[in-house]
Amino acid sequence: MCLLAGQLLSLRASYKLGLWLALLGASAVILWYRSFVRPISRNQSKGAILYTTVGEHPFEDSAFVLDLETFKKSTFLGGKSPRSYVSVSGKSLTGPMLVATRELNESGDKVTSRLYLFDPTGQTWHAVNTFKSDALEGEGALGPDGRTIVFTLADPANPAGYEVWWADTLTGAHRKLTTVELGSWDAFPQLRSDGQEVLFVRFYRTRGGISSKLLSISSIGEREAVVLEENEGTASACYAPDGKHIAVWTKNGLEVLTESDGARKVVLPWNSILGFKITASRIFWSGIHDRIVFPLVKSSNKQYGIWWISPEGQDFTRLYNGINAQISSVSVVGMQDQ
Amino acid sequence: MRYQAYSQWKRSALSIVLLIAFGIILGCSPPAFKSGIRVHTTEALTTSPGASLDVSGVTDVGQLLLARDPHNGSEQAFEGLTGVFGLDDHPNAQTNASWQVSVDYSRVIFECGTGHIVEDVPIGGAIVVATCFL
Repeated sequence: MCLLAGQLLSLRASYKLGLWLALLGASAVILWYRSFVRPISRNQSKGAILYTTVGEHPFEDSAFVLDLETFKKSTFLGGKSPRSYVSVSGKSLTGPMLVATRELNESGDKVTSRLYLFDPTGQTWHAVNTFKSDALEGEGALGPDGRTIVFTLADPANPAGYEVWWADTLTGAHRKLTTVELGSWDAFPQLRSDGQEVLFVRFYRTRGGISSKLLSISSIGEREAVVLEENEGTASACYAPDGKHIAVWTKNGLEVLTESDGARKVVLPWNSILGFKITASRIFWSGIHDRIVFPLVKSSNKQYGIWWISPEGQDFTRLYNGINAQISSVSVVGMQDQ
Repeated sequence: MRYQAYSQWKRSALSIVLLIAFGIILGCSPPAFKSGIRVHTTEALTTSPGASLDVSGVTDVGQLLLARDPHNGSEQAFEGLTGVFGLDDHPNAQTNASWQVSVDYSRVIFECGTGHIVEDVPIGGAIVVATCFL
């Protein structure tokens, strides 16, 4: 196209051609407006699904938006060298987001994982880890107040040993909440709606392979408590917006736990989704719809889809299908910051 | 005569501006990067057979076995460590070639040990997925 444009320029394009090009340009602007601008200003209530996929090549990881009114997909953050996007956590498409990236380092010889606070409105990126320069950076989640975050970092001496950290993005205050032993690591930390408690999964090696526990800890790093023991097979979990319930993938399927009395209900047993598997990743409980949103992968063709179900086990619905890449995070966001 | 020349100049200028705008709309940008080798390390959860897990902290070593032309990238060997989501990227690894990729899980899951994969990497690059089944 650029070559053609250059040739046309050298031929001193005529006025008529100019008019045609103007018409084409106007059509492109209208298309762009209809696809991106109008849906965002229109859909205040239904929100959108924000998800990320892991690509099959370096720098192919991207974030996408699935409009829950039109069910149209659009690229939110398209990965390309020198940076791609493996996980995004936010409350709205215009508010701050915690983004885990894969990016080429300054000397251009190594690709590393970096965590950023991204402002979509101003298109600004601020590195989260300004205090432990040698740490290996993981992924994380934005807190309910839109300013505190929980995320994972690993010491280079134990590169698999990711631990949970807390930070206030406004003041820069930060603290390490958990400590892992050699051969274990923490993943998918999430702050409860009151900001006082952090839920996370601890994976650790055993003689038979990798095992896991569901744990919680106060956001000041005290009272680490076991929510689900090792034999439960926790893969990923999230708090309900009310902070009283937890959705969790276990050996039984997708379960809803009530923290106060320990009551459990399997809302989606494994035997009802035969032919599907999960890859441990963030799942999300949408307050707008009161639905638990999660990815599933079809074993036969490795295609990912996004599904949701009510906390009572009703309305098990496929929202989107045919994604030829691993979904690494999924959440429901508002179209605009409240 | 002078007016005619001015008018012609104006038309040409307008056309150039429109062409540039059109070019920007259609995106006269370089095509998306598609090359290199990505290593992805995974494992199944023992207590939840329906779930697989990305494993970080796995050492990966690549050695080019057979090169063909044309190709992208110039690195004929690499060494790294998988990070978040079990990924390690080698964007400058030579493509259109056969590679041997060795993954060493011993730092994370001792029982998985070391595995070797021979992969034919096309010119556009590839992903090498290493899964430890215990």
